[in-house]
Amino acid sequence: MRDLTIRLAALDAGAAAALRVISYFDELVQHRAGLSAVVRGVAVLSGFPAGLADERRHLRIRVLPDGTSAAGAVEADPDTAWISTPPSSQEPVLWIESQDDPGGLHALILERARLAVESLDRNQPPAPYSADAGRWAAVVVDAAASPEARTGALQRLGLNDTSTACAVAKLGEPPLIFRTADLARSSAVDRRTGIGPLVPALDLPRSWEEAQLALRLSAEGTATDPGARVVLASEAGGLLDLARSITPTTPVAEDVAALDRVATAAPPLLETLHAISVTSSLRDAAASLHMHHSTVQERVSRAERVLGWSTTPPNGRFRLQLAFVLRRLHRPQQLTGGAAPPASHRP
Amino acid sequence: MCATTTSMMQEVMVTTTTTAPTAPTKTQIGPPPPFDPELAAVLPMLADVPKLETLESIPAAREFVMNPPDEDPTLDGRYTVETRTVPGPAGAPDISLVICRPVGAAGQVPVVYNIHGGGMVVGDSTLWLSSMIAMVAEFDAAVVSVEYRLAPETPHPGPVEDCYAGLVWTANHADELGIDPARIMIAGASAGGGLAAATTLLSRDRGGPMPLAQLLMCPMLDDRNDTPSATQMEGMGGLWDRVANQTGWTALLGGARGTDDVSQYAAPARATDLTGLPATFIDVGSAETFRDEAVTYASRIWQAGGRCELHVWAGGWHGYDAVAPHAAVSQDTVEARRRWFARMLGA
Repeated sequence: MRDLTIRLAALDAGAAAALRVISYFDELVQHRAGLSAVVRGVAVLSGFPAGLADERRHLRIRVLPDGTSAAGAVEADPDTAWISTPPSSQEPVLWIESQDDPGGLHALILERARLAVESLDRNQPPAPYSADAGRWAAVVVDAAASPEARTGALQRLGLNDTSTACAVAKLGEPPLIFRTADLARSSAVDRRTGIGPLVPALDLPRSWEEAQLALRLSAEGTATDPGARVVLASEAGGLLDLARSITPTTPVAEDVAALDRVATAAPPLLETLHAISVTSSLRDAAASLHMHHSTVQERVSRAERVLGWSTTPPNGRFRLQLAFVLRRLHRPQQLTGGAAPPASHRP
Repeated sequence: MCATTTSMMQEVMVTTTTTAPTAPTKTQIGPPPPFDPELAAVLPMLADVPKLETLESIPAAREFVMNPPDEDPTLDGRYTVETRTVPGPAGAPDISLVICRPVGAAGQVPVVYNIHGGGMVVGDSTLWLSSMIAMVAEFDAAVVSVEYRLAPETPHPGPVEDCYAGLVWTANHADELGIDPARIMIAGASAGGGLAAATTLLSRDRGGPMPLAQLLMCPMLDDRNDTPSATQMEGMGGLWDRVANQTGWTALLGGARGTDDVSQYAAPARATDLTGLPATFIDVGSAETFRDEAVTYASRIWQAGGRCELHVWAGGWHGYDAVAPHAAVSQDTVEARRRWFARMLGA
């Protein structure tokens, strides 16, 4: 069966060989293999000795076609007749010790290997979130999973029992896990996001529960759903308790219905009401809306006639803020995907 | 790869399952351990290997060429290779043995009695034979590989009786073959590992030739097919999983598979007495179906007071060392066996 992995050049279908080359190096990158594994891949897939020279690090690797490392130090520069990536003092140079290139396969191998080295070389933390990660994250946040299972899944995510991390909930997505709240926040680009508190890694089920509550407290940030897109559970205080208490069977409060009436009657008024609910003065609200304060005053008066109460005194403003929160919490609740781990942990 | 750490993890797993048998299995088993990066890169290339889903898929699997195109048991002329027909078990057909002897070796040489793998249903005596010879060539060891009859055409006890008959013949013809009867090592991978363990038990109980040592590589030991690793790795890891394993055992045992009616000479995991065994070497990947039964067999040999060495290689799927010999973990796996041979032979 070794012929599946070696002697690719002998394969009749060039496209099949090319696909295997591409997939091989992609998998090495995805699984964060070392540089020597990449050079081994070049040697094994081409059937010729292969090498890597990295001048910056004074690193030289040479591998024989059976995957074993060539004995002794590799001093000499590669023969200029061999196929190689362009000589460079900045980038590692890769070569295959052959002058022939059957069907362009060697050039393809070197190009994919070069890209793999480039990806693996970047000293950046955690791999870009892979499709796989969602499955492990689902185990990590599953309170019903055994500690052993969660520890195993943590390792897949580059964490361990002593790490701290937070869970992030986004609409329609499996849980995301980050090491810091800042990283979590930077992941929230254009979608409603709830960020759970930073916790010891084995407490991630709690962080995930609060992240989902925070997600319910977030808004689209549009005229019909004004408010913050990203909500941190750690800043939500008692609103988390409120979120827990509002279930799909909780009757909708009259104040929520009133906001909906405002939204139907005149959508821009809703944004105005939201602005005054989260600022401390009419003037600040006007500034945040880029409007003249007299325009804001006029809109608030119109809105108050629909609402039926005054938003000016502090308790009126609180009542308004609460009405906005309740309105978000009354949205349908199946918000996140992949919250439950798969029945079996397989793709 | 840190085999020691992995072995310890496996031991923890075993302890957990034996001390808390009433806990629900579902919460005990986490996601599959991650594959080694280089081995993960090879897995997509195994997509074309026929899967043994049912007994009906056996013919297609037999059609599939398992040996690499460069298979050469003469090792470039360093070995002579002859095939001998010798008596089989009483009342059964003759069997053939492939006998490979080092050219120009002086005196009686050690011998490896090799039993090929293939799930009890596929393969022949030349399967990966040159890898075995290459591993022991430096000790001038001979290799005798037995052509046992396959299931389902030949159910238990046919295959193990063939293996035993070949072992007896080899020991009885030591002088003629120029081998040292005190230095017979029995070896096998996968089903061959299971048959090697079974042949050793049979020889112990019948007072037959006792090997100096047994080498059980990712051995197929337990027809019950219900360990945590079997469940955990089902559908993953390329060559062999719980489904294929069920097919193999069903071919060998028919309706008796998994019942109380299974002999230890069919499934060595069924043995209640593991005393009186030769020095044993067991290795297995952490990401394959046989992991837990291999670890359990090693533990039980120790508990019985026996000599056993266990290597669990992190991220290895079934047969990785043979299919992807270029990978660093495969090279280390083979090197560990080679060094064990050296210790066994006092070389």
